[in-house]
Amino acid sequence: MVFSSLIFLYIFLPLCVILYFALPGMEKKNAVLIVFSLLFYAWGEPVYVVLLIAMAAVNWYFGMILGRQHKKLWLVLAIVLDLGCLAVFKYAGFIVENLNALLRLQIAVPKITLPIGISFYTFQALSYTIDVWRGRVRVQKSFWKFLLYVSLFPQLIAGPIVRYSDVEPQMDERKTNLSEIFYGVTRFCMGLAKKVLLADYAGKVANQILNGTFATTTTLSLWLGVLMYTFEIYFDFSGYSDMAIGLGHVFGFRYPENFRLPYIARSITDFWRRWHISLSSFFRDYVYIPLGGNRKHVYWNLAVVWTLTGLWHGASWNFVLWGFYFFVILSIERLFRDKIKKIPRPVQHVVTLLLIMIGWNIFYFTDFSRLTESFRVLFGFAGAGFSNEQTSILLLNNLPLAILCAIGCTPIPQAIGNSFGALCADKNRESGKQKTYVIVTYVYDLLLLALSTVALVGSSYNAFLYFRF
Amino acid sequence: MKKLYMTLLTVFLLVLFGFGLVSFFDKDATVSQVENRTLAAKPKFSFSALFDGSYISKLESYYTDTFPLRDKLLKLDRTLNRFYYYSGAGDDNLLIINSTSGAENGGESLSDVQKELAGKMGSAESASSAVSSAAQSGSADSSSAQTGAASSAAGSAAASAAQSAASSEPADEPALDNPDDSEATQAGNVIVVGTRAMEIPTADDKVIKSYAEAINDLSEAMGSSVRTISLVTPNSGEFYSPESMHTGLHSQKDMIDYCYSCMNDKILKVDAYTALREHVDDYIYFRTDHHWTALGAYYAYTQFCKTAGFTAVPLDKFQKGTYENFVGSMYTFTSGYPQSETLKENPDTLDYYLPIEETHAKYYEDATLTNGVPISVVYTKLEDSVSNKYLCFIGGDNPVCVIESKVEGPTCIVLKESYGNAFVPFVTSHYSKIIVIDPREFNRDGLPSLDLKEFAKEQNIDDLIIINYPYMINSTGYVKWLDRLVGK
Repeated sequence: MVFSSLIFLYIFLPLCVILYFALPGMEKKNAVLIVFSLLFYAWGEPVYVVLLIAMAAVNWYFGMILGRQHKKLWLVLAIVLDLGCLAVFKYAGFIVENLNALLRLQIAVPKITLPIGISFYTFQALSYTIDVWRGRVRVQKSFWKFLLYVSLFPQLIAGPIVRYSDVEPQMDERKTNLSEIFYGVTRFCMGLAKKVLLADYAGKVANQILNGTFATTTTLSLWLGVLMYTFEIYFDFSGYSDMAIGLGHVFGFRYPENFRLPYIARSITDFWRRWHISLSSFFRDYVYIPLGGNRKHVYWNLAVVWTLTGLWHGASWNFVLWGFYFFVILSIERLFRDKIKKIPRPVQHVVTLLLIMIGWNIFYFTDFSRLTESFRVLFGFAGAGFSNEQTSILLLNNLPLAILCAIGCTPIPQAIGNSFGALCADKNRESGKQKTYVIVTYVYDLLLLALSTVALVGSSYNAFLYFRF
Repeated sequence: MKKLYMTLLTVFLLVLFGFGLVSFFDKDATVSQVENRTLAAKPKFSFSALFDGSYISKLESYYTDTFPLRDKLLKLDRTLNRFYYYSGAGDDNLLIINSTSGAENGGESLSDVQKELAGKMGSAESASSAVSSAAQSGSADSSSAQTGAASSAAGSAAASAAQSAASSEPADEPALDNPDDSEATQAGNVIVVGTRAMEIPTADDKVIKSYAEAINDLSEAMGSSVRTISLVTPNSGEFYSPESMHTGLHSQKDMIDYCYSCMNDKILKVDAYTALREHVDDYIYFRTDHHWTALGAYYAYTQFCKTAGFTAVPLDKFQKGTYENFVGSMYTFTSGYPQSETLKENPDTLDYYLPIEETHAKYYEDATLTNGVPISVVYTKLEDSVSNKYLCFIGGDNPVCVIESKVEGPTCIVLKESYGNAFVPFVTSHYSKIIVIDPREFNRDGLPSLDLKEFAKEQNIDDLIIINYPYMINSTGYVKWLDRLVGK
């Protein structure tokens, strides 16, 4: 199931919330969350839900063993099982295809559909086992609580990658108060709107352009397509994180922030401190630093981390290329750190944004011939010229959306919210000012929910030239 | 403060839950008039459907399709789309969107529409059963698959979006006859410029060549005694769209030239293009519908006569009639977008020309030519409730329609999609018997089979006429239906 669906918003979520708050005691509340989380996952993966439970069981079990017997063997075994699982379900087809091509073999390519969210929950489970080994967290003795950690539906299928250490205390005891819940609702509505009102529309335009015939695509329209994809991927992903964090707040979980306005970064190094933070910090703490970090063979470490980061995003060579692309840029930025600092700031921003967009273009095309051709069009070596009437109509049709998305990537919305908050600030928490703040926020939430609902219903709009029986 | 929070949050929850309850217990609509389609029906539960994921994805599209107040929300969505599909501040009315028309999968017939209308007025029972039985015939599935994929791709992070979209649809789905969406998406765009909406096809030389080869194969199967006449017509995009949309890969002239150049010398090729080009200032295409007008079809007919050796009947010899206020398929197709409003405010007028000779026509569900239902070659008294006035020509798209004309002349088969419908009435002046066949209605799952070679022999035909517009010569689906007529 996904958050941005009518069935989630109007049936699943209210039922879950009502039951959660109606039942007394942490144990029953946790049970509600586990049942609904498994339902949530089974909705999209009626078979692989078994895999999810099995993965939780394996890591819970190894955590118990490691608690009794601090042997490296058990840790290695757990890691091999986790990554092996990921290798089978995510990369088997890719590996076999490449082996076939490389060694001229004829092994049948296994057709395994990717279990939704496997990359996320494998990493979550893994972080727990490693942290138990490192002595950073205590062993979770209750399987149910561990299953709750791995399967919790707000962050189950698209992150943030929550570490066990982040939520350890909240497994047993969670304090929820009304203002926290209210914040969660607001955060959820904002994420929903980012996803439904910005990302989905930007995505439609991006697909329309990027999936088109390149021979009839102009340079300008392809850049528009890449820009729209740049918007889509940010609002989609960060919107999802917002919804996860918001839902977390409703149930009393605190999740780490995952995005901090990545497109205002001044360098790619800066960008990666702001983009999918829970992933980059995972690779930092569990791969980069164990490899030696900044202390020894730093470029080798970077190359490993970025190849893995690329591969994590998908089993296809363009993702590897995408990771390698960032490795190269990050290395250059590291080598010329002082010189880059002297470049005027606006130039830094523009260049960074361009590099990010080029990165997303690599990310988009899994087909290498399409990828190459897209670059030829982007830089004017192919396609239907720089611009034409179609391009102008496309630009016109999407102008308001592009402007709104652009504003959404800057600190402006936050600044507006903050200054409104400051305006209503009052030491007396019961004051009229404070109440105005709450009510205005609430109306804003309802408005976003209503608009998102309209757009979600609208997305099922499917007109036909003829009557379709 | 606590009280305020409590009230606000409770109201929020009740709004969500209230809608949820209503959605659960309300009566579901089955047909959407706004979109011209049957809404998704409640799927039947089975464990196999549950485990392969199809049950849930169907349930989800059923839920969305029957969401309470859906029609009202769709209207609001159109208002919202003023923002997302901005048309400029002035009087400009501009829109460009992908087209996934699906015309290669079949058309619309007057009898279907009338059945549908009859059902709406009285016997709801028979209509709904007709709808639901028809809904199983396949073509409706493409829409549900699409929304299913879209909604599952939607939630997961972009990183895994592509994979999860793929995983939501079972990978080993049998090769359905319907071309998939990606093929259709490549087919072209729909644009609205002012009061006119147009389809813009994009040339795919490989497909065009395969179309030409399909015509060659048909001709060969017919044998040397049968003339094969091909007529590929441009659509309105060629003449009224901004320049870049009818040049380069969008040039329909180039598509037609290339297509003809790939056909055998034996095949007679009708240059409808030149005649239509000469009359671009006349009312030869609708603005709110993707078809040509009867006048446009007439000019193509004059070229046809030149090629086939007939003497065309002068236009002023025909008795003419008119339907006012015709708002056609392009309006429906764009009705989710604010730009469609201008189309609605500027409806088309549909003129028709009655056959000169006395004609008798029947349509049949298959090629056995049994249980024929009488139809008119041109309907002069369509009810107001039939909004698609273009159905007045031979009653729209039926599998087979046989027209007998009181004229001394040869016999022909016409293979066509709906562009042929406005054309056929004119040739009743030359052929004593015209068998109109819609290739989309045969040799696919659930549809009757037809061996055209045998059939033509039985019918002892003289000419085989194939008439199509550019979307079809660029459609792998349509070429497949042509191939299958002769067992390819």
